[in-house]
Amino acid sequence: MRFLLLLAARSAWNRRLTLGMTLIAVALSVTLLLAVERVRLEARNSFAQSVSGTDLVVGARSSPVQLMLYAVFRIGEATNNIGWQSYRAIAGNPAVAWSIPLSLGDSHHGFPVLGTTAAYFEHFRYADSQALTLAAGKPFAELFDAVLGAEVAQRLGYRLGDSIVLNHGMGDVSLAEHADKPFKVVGILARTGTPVDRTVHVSLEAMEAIHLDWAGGAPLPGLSIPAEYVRKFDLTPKEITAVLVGLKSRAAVFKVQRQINNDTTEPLLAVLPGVALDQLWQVVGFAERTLLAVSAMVVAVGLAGLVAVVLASLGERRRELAILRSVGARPGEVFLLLSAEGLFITVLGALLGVALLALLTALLAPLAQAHFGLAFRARWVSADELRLLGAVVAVGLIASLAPGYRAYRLSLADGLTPRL
Amino acid sequence: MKHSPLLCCCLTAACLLPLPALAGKAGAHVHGTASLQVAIDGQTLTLNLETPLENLLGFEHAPRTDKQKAAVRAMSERLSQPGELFSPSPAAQCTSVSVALDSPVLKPARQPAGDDHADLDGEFVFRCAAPEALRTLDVGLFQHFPKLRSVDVQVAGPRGQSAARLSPQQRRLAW
Repeated sequence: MRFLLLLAARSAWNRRLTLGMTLIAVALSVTLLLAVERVRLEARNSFAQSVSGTDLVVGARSSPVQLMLYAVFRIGEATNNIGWQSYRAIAGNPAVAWSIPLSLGDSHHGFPVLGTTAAYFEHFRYADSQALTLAAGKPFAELFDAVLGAEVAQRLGYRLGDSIVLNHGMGDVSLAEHADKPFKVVGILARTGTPVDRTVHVSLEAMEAIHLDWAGGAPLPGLSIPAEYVRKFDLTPKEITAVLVGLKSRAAVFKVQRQINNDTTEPLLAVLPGVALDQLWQVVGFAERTLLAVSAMVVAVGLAGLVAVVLASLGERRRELAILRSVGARPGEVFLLLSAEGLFITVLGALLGVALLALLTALLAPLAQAHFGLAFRARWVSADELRLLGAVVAVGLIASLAPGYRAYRLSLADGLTPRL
Repeated sequence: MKHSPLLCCCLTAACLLPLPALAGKAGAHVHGTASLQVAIDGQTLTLNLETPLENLLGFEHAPRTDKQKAAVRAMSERLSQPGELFSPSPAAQCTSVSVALDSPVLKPARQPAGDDHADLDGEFVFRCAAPEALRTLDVGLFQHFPKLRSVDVQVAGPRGQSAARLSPQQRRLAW
């Protein structure tokens, strides 16, 4: 038996080019299959990690998923702002324990700038009810203080005490700058693996102050209020983008949600973040299943190619098989030889696919972190992925039986009698 | 960047698609579907059901015939026994504490006019001796009200928030 396997290996090595190509096809298809599954799970995981302990997210009336995406994940833009009066009303609701106002819209080198209050550092939770911690410095206290997320500080190489200038609006190029009112970095947050990492945090008052002498999205010509005078103005914000709300009692969540959604003074929308995420997955689920089906088809194509290559090789290997038969190999052993070859390629392809996936994850994780603030952890193959791999190997095994059977039939009579 | 375009497409698509049971104010009135809000706080399990009357009765106007009046009575009795409609995990030892039903057809004084649609709101409160064992809720509405095809559920509990859609094939809610 061992002798037979050795023979199979040597014979395969002899045809390494064609088999190698097939191996690559199988490995790539397995990588694709696993990547689809992994992106699905990791995306869900990272999204779920990004908000914890918040009972309601409140914003302008739009779609709950859209509200979640811009308020928590900084993906997309708000359709509208909400008035400061509405925020005061929500914060003053007797059922509300704490509230964090969020004001978005400006950026710094492509990173979103978030105007908020000290409540953010006190009440915001991520992952498993973890509070934000500062890796260095302290929360903002002065008007033009800024606290950076870990990714912002690392990418742009900022340290405590550095001076930064915010851009008006979102985007990378040719944005108007708030150059007359630079901010001082007073704190850098510890890494969270959530969108917080790629956010620049300033106070709501500072957000208001840098826009004092602006109108219609541009600086007012001829009017410039120097940074040292802005404190003389009323810096109470007029509007904000969204509010994170924590309640005293969880059971009140649906009641408060109804109160806010039925508010007639301003069209507001309150969503339960966990519910909105599940609704997002319900919708995305269809696309995910389609992708999984497509990648399963790709694996099927890869395995079909494998069978084709092994079958095609039977022609050139007629002599080889005939010699094996003549020196005493039983037809059953020829069958095993051919089937083992297919199975071996499938298993090797699956292993190579896993290795390739690990490599890709390592290479692409920083990009996912940089663009979405989502942490894609490198990890070992999960039980679900093992099940997928098992299915691939099983299908590979069944497919390999075909060339084995054909060789078995042929080898009974063929090869020894040369047909010229 | 392999992940981002895919993720972006999915997310954009998600924003464009109409979502069921958008907000708490289930203002939408869709025959065949109902919304259920599940809140677990301490020992109290509160269920809020909001459904078009069509799902329960097959009509939404004030009962006119004796048959329709009987149907309203039967529905009211059925909903007053929440033990048959909602079965929380047995290990949690939940018992029904109160039921409050609110619907135009249950108030003879305020009849719904003409062809207007009408809803039924129900609040079902349970008290659970062992709330930590409360992990599932079997919803038996589908057996009793065959016109009901799906229930959009929102859960707020000690293990966080979640959403699910129940159907006659999928009657169990787990969190």
